Amino acid sequence: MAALISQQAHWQHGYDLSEETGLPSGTLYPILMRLSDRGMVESKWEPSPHQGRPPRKLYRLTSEGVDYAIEHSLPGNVKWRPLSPERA
Amino acid sequence: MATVVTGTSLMASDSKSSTMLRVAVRFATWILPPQRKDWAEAMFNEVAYVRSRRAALYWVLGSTLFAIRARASYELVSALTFRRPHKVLLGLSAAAVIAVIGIYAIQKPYQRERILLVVLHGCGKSSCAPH
Repeated sequence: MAALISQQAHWQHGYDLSEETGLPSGTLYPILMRLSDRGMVESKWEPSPHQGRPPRKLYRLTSEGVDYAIEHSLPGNVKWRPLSPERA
Repeated sequence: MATVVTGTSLMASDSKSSTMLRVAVRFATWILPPQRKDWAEAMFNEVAYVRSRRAALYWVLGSTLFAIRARASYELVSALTFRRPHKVLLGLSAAAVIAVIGIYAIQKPYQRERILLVVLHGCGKSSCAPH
């Protein structure tokens, strides 16, 4: 979600999102599907500018998704915290 | 996109890995639940834009595993909601009985005797015991 919110106005490809987040396809796409089912991510098809290559799907956060991401990325709202070096 | 695209050549060539890749793509597209076919296309079209051969193989592997997972959960949910639940229960019971028989079959003879003794002892405590 952080990867999507960093470029919220821009459409992004699945592979680019995977590279940015470090998530493999088998993890990234279920997340995108769930976000899409909840209306937080919108997608569209883009024909390839190169001949012989298949069309690609583009993704971006909806306004609802942006609100949700902002709300849950505020420091006070983060429920998960990494362990500090002393406690690890 | 002006990056090096190896995914396209990987999918188009006749090598063993390309064949495997195409088979995996077809299998995963077929196995995904009907309402997710669009996503299967989106996932696998990206292979053509993946920058290395290794990454393309990992991409397809991850997508295929996801397709199998999605199908399994779809089947489980639809079996429990739309079909007859007693059939599911019967199937699960049969699987449990087969598992128990299988576990018993691979035990050593003295372990089998011990299992039988434990079972008979358990029966003796309950209503199985002869009066």
